[in-house]
Amino acid sequence: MKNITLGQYFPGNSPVHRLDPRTKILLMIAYIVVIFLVNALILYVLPFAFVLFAIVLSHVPVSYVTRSLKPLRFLLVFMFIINLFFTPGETALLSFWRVNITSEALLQALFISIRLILLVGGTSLMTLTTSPIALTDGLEKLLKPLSRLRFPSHELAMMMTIALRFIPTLMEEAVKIQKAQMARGADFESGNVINRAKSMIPILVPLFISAFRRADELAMAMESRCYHGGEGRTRMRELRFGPCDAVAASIVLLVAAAIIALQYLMQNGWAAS
Amino acid sequence: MIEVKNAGYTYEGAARPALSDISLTVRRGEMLAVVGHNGSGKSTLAKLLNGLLLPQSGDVLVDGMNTKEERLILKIRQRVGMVFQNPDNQLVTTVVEEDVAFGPESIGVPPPDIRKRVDAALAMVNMQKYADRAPHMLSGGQKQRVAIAGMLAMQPEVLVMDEATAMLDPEGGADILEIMRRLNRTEGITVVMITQQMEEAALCDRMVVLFQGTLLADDAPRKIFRDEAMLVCAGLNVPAMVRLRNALNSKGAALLKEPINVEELASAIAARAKARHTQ
Repeated sequence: MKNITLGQYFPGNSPVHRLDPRTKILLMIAYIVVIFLVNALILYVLPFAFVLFAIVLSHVPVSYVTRSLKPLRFLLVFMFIINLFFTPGETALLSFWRVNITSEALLQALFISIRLILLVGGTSLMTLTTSPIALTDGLEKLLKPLSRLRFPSHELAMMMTIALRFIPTLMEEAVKIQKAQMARGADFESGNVINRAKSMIPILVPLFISAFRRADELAMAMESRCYHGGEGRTRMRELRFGPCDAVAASIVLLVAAAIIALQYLMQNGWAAS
Repeated sequence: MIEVKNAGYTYEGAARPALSDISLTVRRGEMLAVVGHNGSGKSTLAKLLNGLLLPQSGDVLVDGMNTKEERLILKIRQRVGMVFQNPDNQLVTTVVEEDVAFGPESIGVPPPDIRKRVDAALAMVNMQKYADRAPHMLSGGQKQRVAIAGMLAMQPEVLVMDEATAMLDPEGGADILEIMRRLNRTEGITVVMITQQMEEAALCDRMVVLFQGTLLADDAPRKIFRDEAMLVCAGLNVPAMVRLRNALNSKGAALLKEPINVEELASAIAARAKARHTQ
């Protein structure tokens, strides 16, 4: 329980790690938009190559990235099958009983799966190379302009930080409470789903009470350390855009431009023929 | 340094005041113990010292600044650092060094200076090796050392330890005491130890005894330990070594000095044994 990793940060000092978190968040958004814009299978080679290139550059073992795809496997299969059977189309590839598999459906199923894989693979590369604290910092800075509209960007980042800090602590406590209740004869294993959900109450009630007590004490500790909101606050690590950020941005923008241009050409080419 | 003048405080819905008419001066550079049984008001007193609670009657002055003045509160809290009992509930961020930086960031120290302060503070509590760890991977004693470093990074003049060793294992607690003594002797930081442990009080220059919100005694630990009846009355006791000395005295083996810790007791017994031997 003590070895819970927060998020899935893989510490390192590669060019990808050193990128400003703001750059990474913005480029990730651009990357996602491009993935959903592409509508020719062959063009997925480019984002795929881009992700591979970034993985190699980040020194993160490929297995870490593929591991993040693992919880997705059921969803992937499910989406693939649903799209395969239920997308309407004309060119029948295979038909038996009442089932028709058309080439349009196959294409659609492939699209969905590839998009999902690229989406999760790419974003998990970002969380693998950015520490949670850098991510919240970047998010706070990016949302800062919204604070003029009373959007609580600093408070949001602070809440995320505290949540990340206390997840392992509260999990440890939940296990402790569960053991204490088991020692008093509580049964967590038998019965149907509803009974088992009900048996969580003796864990959740003490956990909530203790969480409120912790919140109270933490607030006092923060006040003792002169915390008074985001105003006049400095940061030990200041976020600064460097040459790396410019290079990364140009690479992503180039790849994106290439994809959009190729797509435009291909579509117009088909239209002409 | 800190002056508490006739301070009183009653929690909402409480039958009797947590503190009534307390007057106390914390002197610069001293190590002061505040001892008392549960409910004696010692934690309330601690929270008055940096303005977490404001006295309902009387005043608390830190270097002449009244804690009731809202515009001075950040200055006061920067001067009077506070370490709490539960090490888990005072660390805010997910990385040790970021946590130590939390205080200086709040008071707007320029970034390069924060770096210097964090490194210096971690070195003072011997935690440099753990600078990039996550707090939940540390032991209780280590977390408490990080909490102390977080206070030191604000360069305070006083550190208030509100039962900071109560939840630690003996080894971790001893580490914290050692660090506090060193900070007091070499860095000149004034230390206020809020505690139930008489052994901790014995390390201090001065101790005050609280009982049901009132001040029972304010003197050097050695002198206070002479009045065992008063301490027992306040729900406390004298340190084991003082009890042993008293027991030896009552058995007729009178010791010349007044030892209050192991070393002193050992040398007093040795001196007596030697005196016998030479007779």
